[in-house]
Amino acid sequence: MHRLAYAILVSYLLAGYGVATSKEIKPIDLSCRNCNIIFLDIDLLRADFGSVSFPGNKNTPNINTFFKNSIFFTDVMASSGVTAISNTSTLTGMDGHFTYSLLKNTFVDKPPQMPDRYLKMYMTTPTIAETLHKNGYQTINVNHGWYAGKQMLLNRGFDTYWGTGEANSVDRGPGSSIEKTASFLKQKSRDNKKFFLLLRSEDLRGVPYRYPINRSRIQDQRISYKKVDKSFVEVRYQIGENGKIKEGYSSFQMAGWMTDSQIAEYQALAKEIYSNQLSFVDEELGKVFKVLNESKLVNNSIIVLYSNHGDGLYDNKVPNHGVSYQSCVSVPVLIKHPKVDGFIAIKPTVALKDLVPTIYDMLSLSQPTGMDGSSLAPLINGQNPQSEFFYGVDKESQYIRYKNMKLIVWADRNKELYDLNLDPQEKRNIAIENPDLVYELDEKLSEHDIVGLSKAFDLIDSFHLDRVPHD
Amino acid sequence: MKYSSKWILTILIFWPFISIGQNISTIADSGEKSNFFGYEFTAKSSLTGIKSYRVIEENDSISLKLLRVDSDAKADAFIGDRLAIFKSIFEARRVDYPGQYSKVIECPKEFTPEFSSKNIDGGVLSYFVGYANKNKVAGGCTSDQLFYKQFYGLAYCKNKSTVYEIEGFFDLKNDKLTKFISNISCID
Repeated sequence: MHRLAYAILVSYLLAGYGVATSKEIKPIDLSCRNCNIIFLDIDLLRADFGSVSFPGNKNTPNINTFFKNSIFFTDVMASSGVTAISNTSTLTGMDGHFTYSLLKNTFVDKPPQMPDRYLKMYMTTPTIAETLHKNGYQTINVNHGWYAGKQMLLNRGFDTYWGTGEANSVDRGPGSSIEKTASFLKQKSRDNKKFFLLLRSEDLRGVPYRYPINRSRIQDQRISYKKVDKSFVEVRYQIGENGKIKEGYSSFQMAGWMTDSQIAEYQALAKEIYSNQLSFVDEELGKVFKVLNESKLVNNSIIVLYSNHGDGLYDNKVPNHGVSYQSCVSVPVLIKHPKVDGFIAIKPTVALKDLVPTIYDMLSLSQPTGMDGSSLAPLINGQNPQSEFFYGVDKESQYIRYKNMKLIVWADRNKELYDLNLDPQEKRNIAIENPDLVYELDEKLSEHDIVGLSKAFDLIDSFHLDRVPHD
Repeated sequence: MKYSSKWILTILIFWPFISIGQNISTIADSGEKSNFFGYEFTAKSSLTGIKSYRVIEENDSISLKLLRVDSDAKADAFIGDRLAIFKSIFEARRVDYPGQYSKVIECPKEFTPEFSSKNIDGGVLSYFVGYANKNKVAGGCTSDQLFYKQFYGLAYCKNKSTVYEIEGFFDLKNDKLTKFISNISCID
């Protein structure tokens, strides 16, 4: 037995270090001038869920196959657990706290939108669409959902805009945004003009899930299927304190009233339904991958699969998303690059705001001034990570991460400290045992917060614009 | 026993690579002592390089951050934002506030953090006083859980272009919080 245990330990350790890391791979020429850029943002796709934990997840065979040879960032921190902040931060390469302050002081709640008077100002923090458009790219946006796209003035820079599930749009049913993406790609394969396409799909959003009527369902009496039209049903399962199914928790609510056994029960159910929905999303994405393969667009396109935030799925009693736990802010990033013909896992922590600067680097484009993110291309080729600290913010919480340690500070100033190496699911708050580190990280976080706010105010004031008052 | 040398050798070889929680707590006393609001704070050298202070006296612990700002508007916005999100936790339009660790559905009013604002020498202090348990987790909502008073205060000292962010836990048994609050000012 000892001999066996010893052999297992050595094998495990050797296997662990045998996995490709950024330091072990040969340098790759990642420059890809004039490549098409395709962003597939699958809202709510968790980093630890299925497909992105290559290989062999049964829920996502299409993603697994298509991204078999790709660059896989295993530890990516989003700027926020909510779309409005994270999506804007990602597409501009700007810091989350700065973005939060900018949005908070310019966004109006009723109806939720960014007034047009701020457009000129926002154009000084250009999105990837604006930058690529200026560099001769045709730009296409397929947007699904409210807190992205035109409501956030994130339709800027796009030649073509198609939206669903947003203000005054026609509701086109589940999977429609992905199918539309496949359709646009077919069109683009017929001309030789370089293009940028951004898909943002909310088909994994469970408030409620929208699911094809003719697809096999999970049979469980705790799940409610409501027929909406002849093509799809709405799926609800989350319950309120009265035990009845409710519409769903809002993005920041916690199921604090649930007992541990109720949480365990609904966590299992949530993950089962999520897996099923993910299988459907994967099937839809398969249509996109088919077009990319058959049209050969795959040979001259950088294709990125990511999510702007994750999903709680009852981890830490978070039914949905919108707070700073890893379930909500740890996201997948996979880059399929024409010059990469193997699977490369990048283990150091990176920020999602680094994605757009990375693309600019690969396209050999100069970076817009003032961007906070930085290219990950050197990291892919074995250089050391540039960032030590990672930050995120939403209405309820903020986080700062330094190496494996992550501090979450809640609105009521409660603090949670986690060692993500030992406790990746953030189950044991070790703040009380580490007061100095908590204090130090909190101080750094406050400083970062005020820098972001200061920068946002300077920008708004420089355009002589009003700041939207909030209670 | 005959396998023990192999185990030791293996562990020695892989020890540098085995991550068992990197110790990154680099904070250290700079030795500088400063008196604020009736307490002697110790300046900490930190990752950020900005001045920061903390004091632990018996069961009371207080941290003080001095955050530089270059305009009144930014200071007001920073403070306003922190206060607004703190206050929002108790608003009726949200889910009831159950506290962080209590099992009650809604925090009784007497335990809900109380907001106050007062003029101090050189500025305005805005603060919450609530309750915390033995582990300094704020949000206690039943009397048996309470061990500390939790204090969270923000003051903008215009003459210093600095926001004071003050957090403290004060032992309920020998409440020094009232005196502490009365001592807070922008004047050294």
